[in-house]
Amino acid sequence: MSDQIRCPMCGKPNPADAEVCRYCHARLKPIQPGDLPQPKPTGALEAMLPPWIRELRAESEMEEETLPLPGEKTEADGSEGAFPEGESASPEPDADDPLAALWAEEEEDEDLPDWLKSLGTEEEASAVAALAEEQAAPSAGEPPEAAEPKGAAEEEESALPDWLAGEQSAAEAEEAVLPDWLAEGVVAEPAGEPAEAAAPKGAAEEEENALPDGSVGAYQPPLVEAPSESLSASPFVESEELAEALLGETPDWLQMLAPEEESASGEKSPAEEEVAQPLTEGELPSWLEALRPVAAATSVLATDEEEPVETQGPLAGLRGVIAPPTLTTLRPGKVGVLGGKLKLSDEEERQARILQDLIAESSRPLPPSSLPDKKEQKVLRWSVGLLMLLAAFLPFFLPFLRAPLPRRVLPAAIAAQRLIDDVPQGAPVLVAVDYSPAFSAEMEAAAAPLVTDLLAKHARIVAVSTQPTGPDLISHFFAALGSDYRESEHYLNLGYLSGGTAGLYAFARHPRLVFGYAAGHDRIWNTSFLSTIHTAADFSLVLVITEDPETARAWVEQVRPALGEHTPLLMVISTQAEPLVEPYYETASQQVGGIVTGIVGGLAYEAIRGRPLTAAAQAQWGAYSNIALMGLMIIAGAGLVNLVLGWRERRNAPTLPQDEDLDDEEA
Amino acid sequence: MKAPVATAVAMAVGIVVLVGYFIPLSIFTGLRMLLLQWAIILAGAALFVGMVNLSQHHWARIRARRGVGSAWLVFSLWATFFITFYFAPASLPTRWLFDAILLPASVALLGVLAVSLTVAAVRLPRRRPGLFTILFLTTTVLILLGSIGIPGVGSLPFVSNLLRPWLAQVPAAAGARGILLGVALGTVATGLRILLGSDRPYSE
Amino acid sequence: MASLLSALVAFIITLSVLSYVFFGDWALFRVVMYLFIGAAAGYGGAVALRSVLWPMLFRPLIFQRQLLALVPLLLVALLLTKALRGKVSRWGNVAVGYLVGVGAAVAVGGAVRGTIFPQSVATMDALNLHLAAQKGISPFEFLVTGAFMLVGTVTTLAYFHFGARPQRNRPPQRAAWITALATVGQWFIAVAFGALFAGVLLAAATALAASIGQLWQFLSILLPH
Repeated sequence: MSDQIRCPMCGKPNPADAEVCRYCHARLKPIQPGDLPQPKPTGALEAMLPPWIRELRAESEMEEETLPLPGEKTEADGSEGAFPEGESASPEPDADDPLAALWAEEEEDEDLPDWLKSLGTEEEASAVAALAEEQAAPSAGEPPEAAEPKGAAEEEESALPDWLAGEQSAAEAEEAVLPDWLAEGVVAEPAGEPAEAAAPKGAAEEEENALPDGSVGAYQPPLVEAPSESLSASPFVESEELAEALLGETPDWLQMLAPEEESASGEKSPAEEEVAQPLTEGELPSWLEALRPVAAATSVLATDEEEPVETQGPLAGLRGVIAPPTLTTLRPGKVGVLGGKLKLSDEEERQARILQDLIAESSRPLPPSSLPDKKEQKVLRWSVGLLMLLAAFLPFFLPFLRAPLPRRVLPAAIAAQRLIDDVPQGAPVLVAVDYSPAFSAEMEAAAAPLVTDLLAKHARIVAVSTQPTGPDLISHFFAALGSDYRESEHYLNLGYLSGGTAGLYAFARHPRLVFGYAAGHDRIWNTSFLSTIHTAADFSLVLVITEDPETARAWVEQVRPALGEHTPLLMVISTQAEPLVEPYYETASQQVGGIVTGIVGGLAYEAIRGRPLTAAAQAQWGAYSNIALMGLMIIAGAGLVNLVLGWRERRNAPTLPQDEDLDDEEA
Repeated sequence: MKAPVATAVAMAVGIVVLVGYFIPLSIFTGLRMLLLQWAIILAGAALFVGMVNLSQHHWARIRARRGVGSAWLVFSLWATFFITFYFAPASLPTRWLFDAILLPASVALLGVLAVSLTVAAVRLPRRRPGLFTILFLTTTVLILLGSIGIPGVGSLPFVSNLLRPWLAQVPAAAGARGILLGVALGTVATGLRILLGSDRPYSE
Repeated sequence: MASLLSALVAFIITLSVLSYVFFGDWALFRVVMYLFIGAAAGYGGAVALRSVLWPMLFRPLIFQRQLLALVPLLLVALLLTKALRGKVSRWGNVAVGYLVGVGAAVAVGGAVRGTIFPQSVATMDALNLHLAAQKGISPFEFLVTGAFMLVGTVTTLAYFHFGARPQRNRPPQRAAWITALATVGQWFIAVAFGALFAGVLLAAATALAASIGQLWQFLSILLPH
């Protein structure tokens, strides 16, 4: 696992040499002082500087050489301390230097347990070291303040550069305006007693000292008010004074946990011992793993002043209650950066990634070439429309453009003819006029020959429909057969059968119940059409005329089982339903006893009967054939051209996303 | 749980009806038919509610002064409603409405679809050039060719009598049978989810 | 006169709708569409009231005093709340739940008895040579056709199999043999959809021919012979 590091933001493993997380693109390695812009060699330009500046520079360089600071301060950085790489690990931390902790980090790191080292890179570990320093101080038998007493802080001031000293003075000026009780606490309150101001100061200083990267040089003055984030006590930050500062009076249970008491006994707590044990890298105990997200990012967040004040919602007026979105204020690698992150299993992470991919996929814009060109589409539609309308009109003007009638032998149509022939004279037949009015031309052309045959046999035709327009559709259908056929004399119009599949199921088993309440229908059930009908099986034949495969399926599924062996189910269907109805005809049990498909099927049936077609029917056949032929030629010709163009476009644009993934707006 | 009453009702009536399919006991038969009869009535009421909803929607548009077309729609809706309700379906006035308005409009709309489908089929290979597109369009062309007559030539014997029937009755029917079985299995799965209450499409 | 008026209205409506091919969604087309949708909805509502609700619900309740009809009356009243706004429309869920429950049960029963069993048996019979004699075709033809049907049905079903095994650090994938079957199934599906598409196109061509025939019929009345 040493070749992998976990992203501080999303917690996913990344190669150790990665700069940014490959999942969330968060920076894995903080920007180091050495990474910051380095001063360019400008020695050649020195001579151009005025003499007074050169003198100033020489003085400045002499002063820097005398400073105990281990790093060099560049001019370019101004207030920020930019230190060359390799020099950050100072062997001698200067106790007088408030920034000494920074240089001491590397040394402290030596004493850190391995598991802490493994939590991040070198720089991350140094940040952790600052925390370890906090822990180490009480274990030495001193309160946290002792490590950095007030007096020491005053001494520090002398060693600080002017700008920092000024900041410190400002902090003292703030203290000066504090109320006495608070100022007193600031100056003299020892650890373990309520010291709301002092403790935060010390803690804040330590926290600030621990800040690497950009925060290093930008030394913040100790703040009087404690950062609110500190409330979320990290298990790694056992700073009692911090807790006291925040909570006021230390509760008993917290005092029992106080580190100095443990330290005073000279024994390490079991937890400490456990922590101190060198663990193999990457073998964090589960409890520690589980704790990692809990370790809040309190100390790594910028100070309150840098955080935005909420202006909306129930949190309005509060500062820093919601983490600012700028991730640069976070210190990568610091324990507790993962605060608030959900602990996800691999499976959950994978699913989240799939969701992310899906969202990204759906938001991906269509490539320009696949977007429909409106002008091109309009021209295409005009051309196709014009050609098809011409093809449809011409047979009416020019009889020679009418295609000859087909003479086909269709087995399904022969089966249908046999079923019609098997119907006894005057037998009851159920005809379902169950198509949308839009398909009336095709359905009437296909079904008319069969129904005419039934009427010729004086079959007692009972018509029903599950279409709301059914009653008039039935009337229209029989009117189209010829003016000789009248309702209630040659056929009975039962009208609309409500309920869809449920209605069909009920009608097939108890037709009287479904239509029994109907006004006047009680009389109808005593007429010759229905007097012998109690179930659908009492009909001699059930003829379903439909264009919809779903409707056909509903009849097969709901009605066919109720018909028994003696009542066949015959279907007249549209060409669009043929592939999905054909399997019901192909079964050994012949769920559908015969099929007549579309206008071709009607013509085939007529051909079997040997009946001549009328001139109108011939003209319609001609128009139909010509339209379909024109469509066929357009699809074959233009489709071929487009196929070549499409392939060429694909070849020229290899980065084009697969069209299979894109929505087809024409679908 | 969302819509507990509706869920209980759906599960109870559904299970009674389903049990009646496979266990032909008279107690189930009678109850099932009663439940089905009520469902038929409700389906009719749903059709009526649909009409009222459409009217409401367009009435709101009229009040918002957003649609002359909506006024026209509401007028035609209620005029047809009263004529049909007063004279009864399949009477002379409704036959007139059916023959003059409903039938030609719907047939012509389907006719327009012929042009739209042809345009779509032409554009398809450019958008998705691939083997399956070629197979799809080749099947389309062959089925079309086998279903029509060519002026002066008539039907092409091989295509009309052999190829087209074979395509429609063997590979297409095989694929369609798979689709039918898949749809049926999906129907069973969805239906059982509804009957077990894990799927509640009726809850808002 | 009424038939002439009907033919004139039908002519105008047909022409307006067909004009969509050239002018798109223009004013006249919209007028006709609004008229068509309104008429269809009004017709359906009236049929529902007159052919279903009145004879099956109100008439038995009013004239035959069948108290059992109060139950569907209550359900209808609940369903009508769907047309209202606000929280009261939630009461309609009970009626919709009733419809959905019955519909689901009927669909499940029908699918099992009407499609799954018969079609599965038919698929298994694909290579049953006894049926060849019944159908009067040669065994060779029967076997070839049956093999096609069997392979097509199974592979198409495999294509609709969406079960996948979870894999570590990789998206779930179907088993290799299912993938192979599904690839073959795609070919059958392409052929089936090609046939379906051709069928829709032919049906639409029939409708277009009928519309043109209607226009021609009306023009032939007006034009001098």
